[in-house]
Order: sequence, then C-alpha cells, then structure tokens
Amino acid sequence: MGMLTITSMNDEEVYRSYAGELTRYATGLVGPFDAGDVVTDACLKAFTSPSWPEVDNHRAYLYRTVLSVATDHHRSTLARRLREMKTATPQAVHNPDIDVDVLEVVDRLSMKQRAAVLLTYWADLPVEGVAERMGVSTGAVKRHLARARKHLKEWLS
Amino acid sequence: MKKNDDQRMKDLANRLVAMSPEPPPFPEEVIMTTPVRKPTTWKPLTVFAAAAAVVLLGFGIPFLLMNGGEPPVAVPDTTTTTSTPVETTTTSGLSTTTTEAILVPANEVGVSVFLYQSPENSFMENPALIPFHFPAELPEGADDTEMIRAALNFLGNPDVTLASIWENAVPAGVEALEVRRADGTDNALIIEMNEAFLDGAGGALADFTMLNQLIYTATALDGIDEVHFIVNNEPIVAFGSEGLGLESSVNRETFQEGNLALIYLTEPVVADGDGTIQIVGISNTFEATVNLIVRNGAGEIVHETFTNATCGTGCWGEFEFTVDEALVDADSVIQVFEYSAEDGDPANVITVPVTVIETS
Repeated sequence: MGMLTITSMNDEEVYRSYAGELTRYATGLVGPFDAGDVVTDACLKAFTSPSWPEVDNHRAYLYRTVLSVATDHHRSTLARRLREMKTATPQAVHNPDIDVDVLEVVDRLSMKQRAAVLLTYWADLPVEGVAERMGVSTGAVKRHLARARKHLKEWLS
Repeated sequence: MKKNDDQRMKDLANRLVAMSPEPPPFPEEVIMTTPVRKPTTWKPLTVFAAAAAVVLLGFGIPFLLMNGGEPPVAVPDTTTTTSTPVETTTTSGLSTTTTEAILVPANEVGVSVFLYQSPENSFMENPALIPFHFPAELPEGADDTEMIRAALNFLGNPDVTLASIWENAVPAGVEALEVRRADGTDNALIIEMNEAFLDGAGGALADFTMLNQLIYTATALDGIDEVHFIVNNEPIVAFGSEGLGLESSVNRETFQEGNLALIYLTEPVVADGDGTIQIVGISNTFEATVNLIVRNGAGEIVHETFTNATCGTGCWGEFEFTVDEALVDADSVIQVFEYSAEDGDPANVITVPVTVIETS
C-alpha cells in the first residue's frame, strides 16, 4: 500500500487541454448530472495507470477511458435520473439547461452506440478516428452507428 | 443514409453536448493505492495460445469449407479467412451441431451473407436465416453496391461448399450482374440477375428461401431497405417453380410470413474486441420470450439468458442480446430458441457461429 500524489504538471497540462471536451463527451454518454464524476474518475484511472507513461496519444486514451468508466457507471443511471425528474415536483427539477427530450431519446441507445453517434456527429471524426477513440474496429463503429440509427428511427423521421 | 438524417443526428449530438456542465477541477491530490505494475511474463498458456493461433492462421481451413484436403474455395472478391471445425455436443436436449470457427482480419470491409438452417436440424417448420460476416476485398474506390454484388455472388458461387448444418438455397451459377441504386432513392436497389435466377431453387419453399437469402443479403447494409430484381433489364413476371411475379420491389417482410422460422438473426454475431457481442434478430415466439445459450468449443454451456422481443404470440418483434465478449471465442456457438408452450422443450432452435475479428 502506498500514497500517490498526482502533481505532475504534464498530467495537469493534459487535463487542462482536454477536460472541456471530455466533459462534453461524458455528458453525451451519461447525461449532464454525472458527466463531471465520470471525467474525474476516468482521468484518475488514466493518470495512475501503469501504461500511462507509455501512451502516445493521450487524447484518444482519455476518450477510451471515459467510455470505459461511463460503461461501468451504473447502466441505468440516466434512466433513473429521468424517472426521478419526472416524479419530483416541477419546481425542484426545472432547469432550462437540461433538454429532457433529448436525454430520453439518447437513453434508447447503448453506451457504445452513444459513443459512436457523438464521435461521428459531434466530434466530426471519420470512422477510423471514431474507432481509435472507442478502442474498437471500424466495422464495430459502423455496426454501432447502424443500430443507433435504427433505435432513433422515430427521431429521424 | 439521407442527408436529412445526418443533420438530425448532428442536431441530436449537439443538443446533448450543449447540456455539458463546467469541467471538474484537476484532481490535485488523490490518496489511493499505488498501482502495482505486473511484470510481463510469457506464461506457458500464452505461448501455447500464440502457437495455436499461428497454426490456425497458417493452416486453417478457409471460410465455410469443410471439404478436407480440397483446395481453398475460390470466392470472388474476398480475402483469405481461416476456420477450423469444432464439434459441439448435446448437453441440454438442444441439437448437436458441427460448426467451424471463423477468423477474419481486422478492419476488413464486412458485409453480411445469409445462409439458412433447415427445419430438420432444429425442430422448426420453416428455415431460419443464419447471417455470416463476409469479409470483402474490393477494388479501390468501390462503393457499397459493389460490396452487395460481391456478397450476392458469394451465394451463387459454384465452388462454395458449405459445412455442417448451414445450407444455401441459391443454386450455383445464379449471379448478380449489376447492382445499382434506383433512380432518385437512397434506400432502394435495382439488381440485375442472370437468367439462371429465373429457375428458382427447385420447389416452392426453396424458392422463397432463396429469395429471402438474397433479399436479406442485399439489404444488409445500413440504409438499404428494398430491392427490385430484374433480368435482361426487364421486370420478372415468373420466378421459380410457382411462376411468382416479382415485378415490384421487395423487402425483408415481403416473404417473411409463412416462409421463415419463428426465430432468426438479422445480423452476424461478430466479436471484434470491443468488449461485448450483440445477437440481434426477429422472432414471433410465445409471450415474446427468446432464450440464448452460449456454448464453448467443447459444447459446454458457458452462458444462458433470455430476453423479450418487442412483440410475440402472433406478431413479429425484434430482440437483442448483449453478451460479454470474454465468454466467446472463435470456437463458440450461440443458440437462440424458445421453450415450447406445449411441452417445455426447446423449440425453433437456431445455431449461429461467432466470427472473431482479429485485433492485433
């Protein structure tokens, strides 16, 4: 057992460079309520990983870790949050920044489908870039996108 | 996919991301257990697995072939793939199967090819479609219609010999001469077939199975919903033994009812290193319940679960299982079935291979 203090400026620089986009990515994956926690957990996991010093592409690695942490996050968290919002008093939950309709639409997708949609349509990455940041093959990305479109048929029509 | 759909997806993604809170502060200090770096060692099992992989890759039998000693099948427009036969044994009253491992190179262009499993092998009245991942090597600049043509022509390739329980109703020599998008549409294809297509497969059910195989294969790509078969640039007024009219476009539902088993898969089962595999299909089962078993190469059940389709007991519904990828390897098979409402025995059992995409 030992104590580890993260004080590396390099890590901090990396964090400051990507924290904003990682938080937006995490928001797309788990919703705005838990995005901060997911990013914090993911960064701690990455920075303390034995393989972190050898990582060439910090950005892609952090994206993969955010997806991994988001997947480990309780799977029904977003659905639970939405249920809580619906059963709470309107005054208690009114938040003009929360787009409940969109969250309900996205809740139909698996975590990987959400990641594929976000990286394709928000981050505007080609399929190879999406595959790198998800840590999967390009074929898997295409399948996740195809399934996402199928689940979002109503939204798209 | 239509441009409008792209715009809607972009809108959805942007609205999602717009809800983002401020990033959390950098975790200046954290008290935690120091991670222990495990030394890299070459365990005997790892060495054995690596050696086995090399042997498998070097001497494996090509995709879908179990014709011992025969030369590899000449599949047009495909890359070399490897496979090895696997025997599974009956352990729970479900059908004994002989399957083969399918390994395909990573990042290959993949399309789906639909074969079928006949009723005799699975207590089913009608054949079940069984999707396979088909790796296609296409010329530079080839578009998706060429991928579809390559997949369709895999089915009519006279040199393809199928293994074990999966069958092909498309007669050797049937060929797609041209595949193109219908004018003004993104989702409809016109497929020019050769004249051998008109003869069908030699019987009413076989004709419908052949058509379903071709229709599912042709519509396996995202965004393609319907196809219109033509021969000699003319609509088809008489197809197969029954003289079926095919003057109009057809889709996956056109010949579904009464011609396909009550459970079948609509996508190949592919393990590509992303942590999970999806088993996606359509069913019309009692109370919409669909069961799944994962068997390892020795035929032992390593995972068993069930789900509910979106509809059942008289209507078709979609189902999807997500299974931990760690539970499967190239020797695994997936069995999907229902328990009979009459006697509780497994019914409508289909056996599906797992394609492992190598992620070196």
